[in-house]
Amino acid sequence: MWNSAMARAERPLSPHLQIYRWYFTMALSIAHRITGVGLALGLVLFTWWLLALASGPEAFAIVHGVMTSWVGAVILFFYTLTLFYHMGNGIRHLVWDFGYGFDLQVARAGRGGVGVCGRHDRADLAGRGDRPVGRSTCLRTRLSPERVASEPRTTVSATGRRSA
Amino acid sequence: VVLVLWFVFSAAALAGAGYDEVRAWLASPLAATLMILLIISVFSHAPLGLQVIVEDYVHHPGIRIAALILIRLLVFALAVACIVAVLTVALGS
Repeated sequence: MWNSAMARAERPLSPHLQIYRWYFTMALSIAHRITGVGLALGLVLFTWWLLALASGPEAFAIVHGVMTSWVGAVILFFYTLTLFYHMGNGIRHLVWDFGYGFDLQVARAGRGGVGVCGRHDRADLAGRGDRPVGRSTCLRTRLSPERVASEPRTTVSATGRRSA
Repeated sequence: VVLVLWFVFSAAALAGAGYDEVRAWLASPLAATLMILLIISVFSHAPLGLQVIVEDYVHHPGIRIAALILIRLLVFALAVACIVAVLTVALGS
């Protein structure tokens, strides 16, 4: 008989995030979430802008003043940046959903495509070797490339695409 | 994606514009239609993404449901506000 305290205590825990080595794919994945939250918060600004536009020149002047101040400019700049990042990465997710692009070369090229951390190109893979992994056939699971790459499958990669 | 690209480039083109110019731009049927389509797609996408995040990180069932409902309501309110604003500008009332 299991009481709830026992069940909680003896249930095996998955390793904590700190255990894992920080692969670029993990950074890309969490960045997708962070940018998503940021973009959602920015929708409030977007709504404010539209409402001000509808309600009259005075209200619009206030919004315009904020947006063209340097704080507003910085916010808008990063908003645009994160918008493009999130959109590019979203396309990548779409491709993954169709079951393509799970091997390391494509992951690296895609990272270049979403424009993040190109300078870590060699460092983060040092010591692991460029073991090609096969195309995953699972659909709709959001299986991230680092998990595919860590599985001991050594199927020959279908594509030879390189980032640079 | 196409709508987002359209909006970003339109916004960039309007960067230095004043109130009247922006209003004239949004009053055109094409811009208003695209804008409303953009609003619908963005504001339906946002709660889905936020829902996944809440479900992952908020473990207390009551708080989780409250957060999800709150997100839905807030995003829906923002979306309605945006569409009303666009229609107000486009229909010139």
